Amino acid sequence: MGKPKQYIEPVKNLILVVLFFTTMLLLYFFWGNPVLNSFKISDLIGDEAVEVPSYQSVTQPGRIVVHLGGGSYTVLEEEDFNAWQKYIELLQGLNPAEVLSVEEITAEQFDKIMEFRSIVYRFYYDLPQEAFLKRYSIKDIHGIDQIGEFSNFGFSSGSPESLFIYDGSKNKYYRIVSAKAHEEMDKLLSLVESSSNANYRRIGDLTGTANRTVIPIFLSTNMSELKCFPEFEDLNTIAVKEFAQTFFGESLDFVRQIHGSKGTHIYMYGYGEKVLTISASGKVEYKNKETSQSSQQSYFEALDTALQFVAAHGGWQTEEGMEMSPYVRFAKAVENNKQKGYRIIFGMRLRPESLYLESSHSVMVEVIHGQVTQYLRDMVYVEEPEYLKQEGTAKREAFSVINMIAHNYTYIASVLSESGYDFSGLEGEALFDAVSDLVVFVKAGYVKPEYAENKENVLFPAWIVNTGSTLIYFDLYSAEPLGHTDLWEE
Amino acid sequence: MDWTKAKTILIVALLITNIFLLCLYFSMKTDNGPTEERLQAETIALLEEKQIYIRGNLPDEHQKMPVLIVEYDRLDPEYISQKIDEQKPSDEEYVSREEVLKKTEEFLKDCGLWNKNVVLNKVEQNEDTFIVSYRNEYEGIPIEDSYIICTVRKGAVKEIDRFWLKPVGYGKSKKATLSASAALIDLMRSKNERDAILVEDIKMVYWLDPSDYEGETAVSDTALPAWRITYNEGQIKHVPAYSD
Repeated sequence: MGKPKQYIEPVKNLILVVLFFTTMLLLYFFWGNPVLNSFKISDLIGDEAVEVPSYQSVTQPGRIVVHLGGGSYTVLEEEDFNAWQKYIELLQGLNPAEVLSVEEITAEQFDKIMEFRSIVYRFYYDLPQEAFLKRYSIKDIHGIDQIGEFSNFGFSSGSPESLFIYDGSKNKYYRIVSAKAHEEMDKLLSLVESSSNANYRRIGDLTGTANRTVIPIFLSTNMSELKCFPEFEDLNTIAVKEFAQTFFGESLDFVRQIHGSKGTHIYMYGYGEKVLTISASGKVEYKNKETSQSSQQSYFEALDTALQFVAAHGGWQTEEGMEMSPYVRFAKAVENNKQKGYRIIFGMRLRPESLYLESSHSVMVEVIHGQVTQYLRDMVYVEEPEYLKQEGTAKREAFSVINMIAHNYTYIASVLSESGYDFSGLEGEALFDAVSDLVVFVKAGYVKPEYAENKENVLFPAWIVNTGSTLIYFDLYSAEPLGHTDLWEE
Repeated sequence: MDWTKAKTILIVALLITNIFLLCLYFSMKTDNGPTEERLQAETIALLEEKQIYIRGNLPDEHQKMPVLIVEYDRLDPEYISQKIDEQKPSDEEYVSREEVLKKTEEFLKDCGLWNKNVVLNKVEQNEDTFIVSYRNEYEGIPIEDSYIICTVRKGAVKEIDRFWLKPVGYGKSKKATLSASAALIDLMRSKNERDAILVEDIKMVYWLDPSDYEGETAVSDTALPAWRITYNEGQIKHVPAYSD
């Protein structure tokens, strides 16, 4: 009679465990959607965490230009000297009580003060003032609200107690005058001066025009052609199906699927409210026409939404290939049916050179009223050994930038004419001056042309010429045109 | 602490909770609100208030349905021209309707266009010309906007107009569809207040709208269940049948 008793406790334990899980399961059916076949363990334990880049890591100046004095310049890379972070810390440390004034200055005054040893952080888009101050925890300074948007930030040793800001939307310059000098910035300038070459000059100084854009006067590099691969080469793979599932849920059984004659796959939900198109070349476009129920978001909230969305739909890295660093290349406010939002173009860096795609972008996200209404993804990847291979090759001299512009100014003018620029009546030197005046930056990078005979999936080393709304590409060594991208083309 | 007693109390408490939750769950499942018939009667009354009248009875059934995967089956115009030219016209002056249908079927079989999904829709006669229309049905459910129209003269097919969606198979899962009365509510919402509507027919079909998609030529597509509502002398409205 003693034997059965010894089993009672283990049986009780077992019953307890079973009853506990049964209770959990029943409660799940009540709290969740009470459909038996929708039950999945992953719903309870959650999906694998996705990697989302921080807003700080993607919000970096497009260019950090340091004037070393006497018309000699250098350009810093994002991570050099931690220069941007130092400026942010300076803004965060500003004590409103010690700020004497925030005042508007003229463009001439700004240019004059920058003739001294100075540093300018250039963004090629506008950061809304209120959202920027809030996101970076910068204290409210009396008078700063007169600045609508931040496009450039600056410091000059000619006025060490001032910080300079350019509002690109209003084309106005401001300075924030403090009671004491910002010695940290002066130290940064000295540090840059002691360890960098003065290898940049203004276009204006070389051409005799007023253009203040700085260009490299000499570049010796081992950048060479790189074989690249589209993210989705074969659309009939599980990876593509799983990618589509991130938009429409686990089951694609009730999503309209269309296959085009050229290999395009289209996934359509409802009456085309949500459409995902993946072309045979691997380019992805997602459009969502559903009315947003959310409220309007500030720039940084929209940026967070975009970062999260991309992380959840394809991720910020390709499955294969070397790691790339995303950054905001351009951003602009947009409006659709009286709802406001932002269109953000993300670029990808292949340490440290950027990657450019003719007539496309690695990632573009449009966020309106907190909802992603458009998402473009055209990711290519490079195998790391392929990238590292070029480091062992001999350095070559890149084509001189100013000569590249001189060789191609008529081509640049013809490209810009398509975007609405009027160069009628201009030719020769006048046309060259007009074209070179529009150049906002020139930098080296890798370009994937839309069509390249016998070199379909190749990244070409190139000079990237930015004229504000258009990026024009030229071969780094021969200055031959490689195509162009209209930034805001629909 | 007396663990044995504590366990017993816990087991009893959890058992009571589970029995309570199960009873609640099944009572919710069985209490589905008004019956289908009552709902239909109420809907018809509401529709009549809004000047929407229904001829005949509404379909009772609306089962769970899968999507239908289809391929665009396009004709080679040269091949069809050749086949048309190869026909021998009848010597007889008068060709009966039956003979026309027989000839058309033979022609379609000869072209490899005949299969069990080809269903005769209507035959129209204009003097010596017959227009024979076929629709596409897959396992008894019409596939919308998919047709073959043959123009027959003197016992020979003279012209063929065909837009054909070839069913490849059903999707893996099934999903609940709206009732016919719910589809009519959708019609009511889109209706102009003043106009009266007489619903002549309502039928479950597979439907896709090719105009939703622009770009390269589509090779395959997905047709979704929809209610086809025919009203006011042949006007047609499609209401998607999936409930969300």
